[in-house]
Amino acid sequence: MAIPTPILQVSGLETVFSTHRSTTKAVDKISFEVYRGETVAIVGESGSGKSVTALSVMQLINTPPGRITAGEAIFQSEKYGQVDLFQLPEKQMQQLRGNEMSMIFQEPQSSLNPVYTCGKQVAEVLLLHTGLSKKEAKARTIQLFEKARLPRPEKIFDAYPHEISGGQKQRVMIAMAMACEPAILIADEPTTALDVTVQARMLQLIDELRVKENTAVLFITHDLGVVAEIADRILVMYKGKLVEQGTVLGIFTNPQHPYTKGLLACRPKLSAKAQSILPTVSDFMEEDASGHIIEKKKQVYKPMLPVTADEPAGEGTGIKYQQENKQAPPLLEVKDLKVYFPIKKGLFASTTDYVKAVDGVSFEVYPGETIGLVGESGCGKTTLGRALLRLVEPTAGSILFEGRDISRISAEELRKSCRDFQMIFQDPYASLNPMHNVGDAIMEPMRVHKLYTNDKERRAKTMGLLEKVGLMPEHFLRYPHEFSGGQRQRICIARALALQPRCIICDESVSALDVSVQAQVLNLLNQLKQEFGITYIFITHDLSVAKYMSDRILVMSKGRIIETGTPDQLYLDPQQEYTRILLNAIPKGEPEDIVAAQEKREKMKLGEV
Amino acid sequence: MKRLLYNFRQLWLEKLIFRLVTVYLALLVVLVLVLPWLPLPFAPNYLDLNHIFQPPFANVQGAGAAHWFGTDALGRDVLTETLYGARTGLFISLPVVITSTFIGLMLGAGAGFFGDNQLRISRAALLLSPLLLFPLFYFGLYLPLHIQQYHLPASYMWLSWGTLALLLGISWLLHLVLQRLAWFRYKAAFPLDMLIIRVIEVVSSVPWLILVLLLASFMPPSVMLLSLILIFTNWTHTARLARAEMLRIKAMPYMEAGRALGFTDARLVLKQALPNMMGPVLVAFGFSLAALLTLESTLSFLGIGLPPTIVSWGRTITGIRSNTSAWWLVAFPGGFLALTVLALQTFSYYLRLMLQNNSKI
Repeated sequence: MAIPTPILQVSGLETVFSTHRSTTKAVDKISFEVYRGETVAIVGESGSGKSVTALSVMQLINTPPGRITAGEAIFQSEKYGQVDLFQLPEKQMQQLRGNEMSMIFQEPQSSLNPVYTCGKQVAEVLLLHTGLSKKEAKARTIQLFEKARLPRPEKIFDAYPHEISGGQKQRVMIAMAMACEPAILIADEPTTALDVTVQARMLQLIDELRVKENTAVLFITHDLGVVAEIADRILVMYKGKLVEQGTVLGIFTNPQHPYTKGLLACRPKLSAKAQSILPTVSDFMEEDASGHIIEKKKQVYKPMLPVTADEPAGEGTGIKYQQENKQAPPLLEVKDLKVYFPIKKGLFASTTDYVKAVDGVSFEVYPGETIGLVGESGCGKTTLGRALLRLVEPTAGSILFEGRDISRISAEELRKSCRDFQMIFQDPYASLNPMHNVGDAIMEPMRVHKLYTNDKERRAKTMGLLEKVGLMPEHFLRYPHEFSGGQRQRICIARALALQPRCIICDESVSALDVSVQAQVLNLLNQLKQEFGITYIFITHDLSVAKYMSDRILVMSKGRIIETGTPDQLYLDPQQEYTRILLNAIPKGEPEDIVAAQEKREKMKLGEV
Repeated sequence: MKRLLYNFRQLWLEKLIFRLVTVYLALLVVLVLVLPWLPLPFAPNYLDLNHIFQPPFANVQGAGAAHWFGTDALGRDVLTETLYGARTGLFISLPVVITSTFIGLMLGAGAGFFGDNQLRISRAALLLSPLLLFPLFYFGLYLPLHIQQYHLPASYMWLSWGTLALLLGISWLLHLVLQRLAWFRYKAAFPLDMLIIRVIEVVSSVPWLILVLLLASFMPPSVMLLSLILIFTNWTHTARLARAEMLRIKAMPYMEAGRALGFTDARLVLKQALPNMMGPVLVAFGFSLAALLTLESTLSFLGIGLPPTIVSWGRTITGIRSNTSAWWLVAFPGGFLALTVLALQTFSYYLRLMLQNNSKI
């Protein structure tokens, strides 16, 4: 058997970004190859340079500030033969892009042009790169839409991007990328913005297409779980360097590099023990001043692994504590809560219909427990969370907080009742005012609610809070932009804690964070719960996080709560079809699943050939 | 703030033009402030009738003080006129821009923040506050100004203000009484946004030049009157900008976070939103200062709005009409005007860059 030549061979790629202040090496001498018909996944956290690698290969780096300073990318082109992409003139590169190499981006919402119909945009690619006539292009586009499993392809051809859902948009993007039967498809986080169920179908589609069309796929993602079932090989990137590469099974069963080990361990798995301490990447490695990675000794992190479930953690007391609380009156009692948004249409903007975002929801929350609120995007979980704080006005129903109905009190009383009831938002970047320093951000709520007698006491208290959430006292005077996402979320947590609330609503509070940072924040939330007995309402789309965090889970769909139960009840024995679909869609990333997926792929290949 | 200073330093080090512009504007401000104490050979409005239409650098060697920049039709020294013209220009445009920016910022931010149904006012207050506007204007502003103008005894002034206080007290009592009735106590939504937008539309539909001409036809021109007209027409730009900025900021999660933390409306507007909208407003400030300097010169060139006794760039330039060969009457004040406007616009441009860098996450 002859050794196959890789379709793309990248060696010693180095991309730097230079601003007038500093030069950053985004990608630092990485080499890899992609063979025909295989899926290679580049995995890494934000800032690891994985997207820059893909953009460099496509020659889509903005220059300035970016610049490819070294390396070559040998591509086996049909048209030009063997070429180095970095040396290729822009004219020829344009011929390759979209034709022999194509790309799918993260945001389906913004990567389709809103003023053209979906069909026209795909047909345009065909008209540009092939000699097809307009009519043939249309026929071919519809064919592609069928291949991408889009329902009613003729309708979608004439639909504008805003008329179809996010998942459908991503399918159109995939159809567009596959239009000219490219030799290599680069997918940059194609499923990150999608719901789990949609994500599962999308992964399946990409997997199917590459087997059928024998396309090489370069799959970029931050989530190891996602690629477990579809990738053949995995490259792990960390701070611009390639730290490990290997086959999927190899990486998942026997990771070599401490960073990979950390990455694999810190994601809350479905099998993980609830509310135990998650290991974080820093448990596995540390970096010395010159950036060398040193593996930590095994015994340091071993006892913290959640898989060692048989050891007696401090959980027994926790459960007893909750049971005691069950007897206590509920902290929060929501009865038949409805939030409707009017749809206004016509000349006189008369209300024709309502969007029933929350449609008759009732539940109780007992002191000291964590309620997980899960559901797909658009199910009304965020609206419900905001209605509890009356950030949106409920249409009907009552919210009893310690027996007091907060849905009916005046604005002034509501403002005062905010003390007991706090919220941590999704986006740690935007939920802090960029013009206020950290100290001000935390002290401001205390001033508003006249906690403590003077600023000196508040300052001391703030210092304490900073320490509690794992920040330094010298961070007091810094501004939010100087912090990373995880640190900002810590600031948000400290701000919420400043008022010593009884209940905190976490609205997708860890969704925007990298997995390793997510683990740290989840640990912090659990630790605070034990320390202060705070009640959490944890809103998330990530079922594994919900299972890990919650004492009780509410599953929401179309504005209603369709199922409730303890995590174990739900995961072992889901009653509703919807819950079952949600659970099945979670990427598992267990070795058995990987093997099963590979076997399935083999079968598919044999069936085709 | 620290970062702003850092950005300022960076720009200062990197951009020669920024350095030039900043130095020029700083020098101009210093010059304007110390001008009356400078040993200039001629006072402003001093008529040297022996040397009319003297070209610049003419009698530099001759006896007596030299007219470096030449003289105009009445022998006024162009150098003195040019320097004092800068003073007039800034003294008129700066207060106008500051006041109109303040008014625009408050109204625009209020309109953006409260929208049409966020601000709730009880019907009693809604009824009484327009009624109070008239006495507030008449007793609080109009009468005292007239009393001052005709040099009447100060006790009259106190009488006027006393009446006002009495009226305020009465209406407060009336308000308390009305509050007892349920209908008056009801807090109705006040369409602040709609109201302010309509006012902006009406104000900006009146051509200010025609307004000035109209007023000039039956009122003696005065600096005060001109300033008021300019403020009246100028605030709308800032208000529109501030409203748009506020609408953007209102949608930011940190505003919602503030609400969730129980912040009052006033605190949300003043402490959370306002610092974030200052960037664009400051940039607009620079541009509208430049625009007003040009405007002031245009008006005095046309001879309307400003009394002819006031030194101004525009007034000097007018001299060219009686003697078309006196190029220096246009070159010096015109050149300074162009330079200053250019400097202000360039400075605003760099300020925008600076603030953009500042707000980058």
